[in-house]
Amino acid sequence: MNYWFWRQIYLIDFTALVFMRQWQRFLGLLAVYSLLVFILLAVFLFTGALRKEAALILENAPEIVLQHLKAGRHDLIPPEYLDKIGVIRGVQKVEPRLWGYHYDAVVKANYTFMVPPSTANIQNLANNEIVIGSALARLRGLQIGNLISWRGYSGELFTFKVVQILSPESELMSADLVLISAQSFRNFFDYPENYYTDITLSIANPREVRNVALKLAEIFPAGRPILREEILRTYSALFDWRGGLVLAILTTSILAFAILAWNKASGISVDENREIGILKAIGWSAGDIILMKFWEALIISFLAFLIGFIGAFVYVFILGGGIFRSVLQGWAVLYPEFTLPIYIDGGQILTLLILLTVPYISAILVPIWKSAVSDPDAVIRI
Amino acid sequence: MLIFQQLNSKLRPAFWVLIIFSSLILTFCIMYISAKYIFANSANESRARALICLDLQLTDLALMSSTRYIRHLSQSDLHSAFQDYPLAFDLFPNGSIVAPPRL
Repeated sequence: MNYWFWRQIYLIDFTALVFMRQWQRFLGLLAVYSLLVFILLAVFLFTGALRKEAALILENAPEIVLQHLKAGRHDLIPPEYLDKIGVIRGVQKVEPRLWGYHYDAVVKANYTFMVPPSTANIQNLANNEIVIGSALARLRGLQIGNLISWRGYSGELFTFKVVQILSPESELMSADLVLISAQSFRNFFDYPENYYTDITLSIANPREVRNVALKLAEIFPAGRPILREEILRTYSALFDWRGGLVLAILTTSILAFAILAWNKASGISVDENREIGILKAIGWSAGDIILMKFWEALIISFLAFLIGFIGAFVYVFILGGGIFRSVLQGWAVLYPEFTLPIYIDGGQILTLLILLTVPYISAILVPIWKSAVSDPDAVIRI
Repeated sequence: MLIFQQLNSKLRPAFWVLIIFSSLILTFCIMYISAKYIFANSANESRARALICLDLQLTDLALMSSTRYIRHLSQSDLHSAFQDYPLAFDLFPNGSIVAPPRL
């Protein structure tokens, strides 16, 4: 054990001295390698955190949303839907919703107008009162008590008073929301009485959700039930796709690094060959040389991984992710400002560690092994 | 301890390699543990978002509001981000970063 340990220490000593002697080559390789790890990990950390956050939030989304389709498009829920849903066993609560979009030509942004559900904390909005999301308030420079006017769908001008601004912490969910009373909503959008945008359903037993959805599809052939798990899947797929998209763009840089690493690793220079020959001539075995090179590759790759990871962590979670943010988050006129919760998937990091270090170490070892087993005299004379 | 003293007293290059690695691994561990256990539980923003989602029965994140079908991605018609067919290019930039529907 003692002998084995000190042998490794001497080999690391030797490797460190090689690094110090060839510090320019070592630092150059380390910088490029760390940059690659940094970019890949930043993408994974950002999409991972956003995916996790979406999953945590949307766990609270309605269990089933029922839409009415007409000619393949989302249409208003006719009054008879509500009567028929009442007979489905297992449905605990039925809440018809009123919501829609309004394009504000002044700032060229879309808002989501919504009537708060009957159970919401925001209640008793008068007909000229609204509650708005904080991104909207920022965009239009609105404060509590301010008035704002929009032209309704009948051509009439509606003036609303801002009575509350939703918390900036919830901006990721509420950036563009305008909460409005049911009567104002119908007046503003010229919405027919007793018609709704869609219906949310709460199911008493979570295991019954699929059965209820099947019953809904049976009773309403023109209906489209959307389950909570489908909402969760949509967002998981969205961030997977976006992460993949960024990685696809980065493929060229990954390939460039692969070529650089391969070139550095496999193309043993004349100097390195001479070094190996001299080491063999003074009594090093092929095993010693391979072990020394193994330490060299291990130190470079692990150092690059650690530097890249720390850099990516600081960049994504502390500095906000800058350059990746607009691509990974999406862009809009009404841009939600939010901090990303810190979330790291240990398994994913381990997979990346293996994928980023093992190929490099093997790319170094194979040509060294070839050179180390050859005759020292032949190697030096090249 | 004796090994450490031997390493330290001679100030071998391996000692410095060990120091650099230990400090980086320590930073890595501190960041990982803090991310996993400290920050994850104290995310007030996450709680506020989850609460408003539950309270207002919201179905989508307000990440992108350029078009109606991108704003409520989970509620839009199946092909709406790809108006004509599943891989059709979209007029709005956000449509290009949404995955085409599975056929």
